[in-house]
Amino acid sequence: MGISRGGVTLTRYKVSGEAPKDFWDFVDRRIHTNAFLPIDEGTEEQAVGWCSIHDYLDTNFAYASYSLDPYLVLGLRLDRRRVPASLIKRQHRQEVQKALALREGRGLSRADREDLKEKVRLDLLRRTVPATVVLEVIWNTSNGELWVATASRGMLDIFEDLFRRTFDLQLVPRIPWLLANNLLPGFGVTLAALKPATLYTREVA
Amino acid sequence: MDVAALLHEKTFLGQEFLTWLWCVSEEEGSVALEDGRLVDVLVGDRLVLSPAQGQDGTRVSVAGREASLAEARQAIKRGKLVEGLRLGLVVDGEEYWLSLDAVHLGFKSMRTPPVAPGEKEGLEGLLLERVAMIETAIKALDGLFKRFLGLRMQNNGLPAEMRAWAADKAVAS
Repeated sequence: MGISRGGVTLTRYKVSGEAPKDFWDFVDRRIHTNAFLPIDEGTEEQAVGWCSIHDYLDTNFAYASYSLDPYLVLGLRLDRRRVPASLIKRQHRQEVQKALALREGRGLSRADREDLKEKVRLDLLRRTVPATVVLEVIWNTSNGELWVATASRGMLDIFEDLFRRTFDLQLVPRIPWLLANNLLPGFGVTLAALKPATLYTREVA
Repeated sequence: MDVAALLHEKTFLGQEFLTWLWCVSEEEGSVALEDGRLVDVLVGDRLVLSPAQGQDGTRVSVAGREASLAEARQAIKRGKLVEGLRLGLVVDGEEYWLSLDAVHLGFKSMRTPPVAPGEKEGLEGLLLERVAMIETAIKALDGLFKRFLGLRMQNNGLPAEMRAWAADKAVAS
């Protein structure tokens, strides 16, 4: 499901800002710099980066696979580890009990308990396989129109952040007011004068 | 003005546009765009109406055809406008369906015409074919929005056709 096939949900943007003259070289450098790096072996909770739109395991972009001139087509890959708080709490209690048993009645300081909690958290993170989410991104570089295949605010925040870090360009959302000003350049004053109206009919019971 | 403020202060434009689309679907049924293309406008079995910007009130959601549309029409007469709907567009004989919301005008659950088997080869070919289809729908919707804006700017309020439509519905219901 997504832009490639099936039903699709899209959020639209207009890319603004001045792109460099060596645009496709610039794109190649920046995409490779911000390509997805796996976190399977570590304890990081989240990783975000670009991947091929066709295969999220492909981060080499052989033969500039992101380029379907004039389109720039990318996958945004997000890997996330989530350990339930209840599981951390349970494991932490068990570790505290073990530690107290070893100390023969002497208590644990607050700092000791916090250290144990962090140790438990990292241990659980290491044993948790990250979940992967991939978003499709299509950028028509001839007119600046860009689509992201999601409507989730959280995912859009992650996308906007990665896009700005990668390309140093601005994203203007295609919300009705901004789209209106874009479709009718030169009518800004007239548009700004519009006031909300309704079809209210007095005789409704 | 930042995006959050625009979303708060200019929501009415999206609400009015979606309401106009509903009106068009019931009246003319199609609109000639600036580029000469004719777009048929259809409304599916989902409509959500909410108070116009700056007004208080509750949201009305209706699903299904005739019976529930009467409720939606009553809501229009009470001053509510369309906040979301399932929209069909027929462009060059091909049908596109999508859910639209007035705040963002984002495309949700969009269905494009099927790609004919064997028409395009490889992942890139299929992707380009889909992109072309989505662009067709987006251009049609932008064309409709531009047409609505033209009418809206000519009128002190909503276009006369919409007011007549709402009044007719008042008589009919």
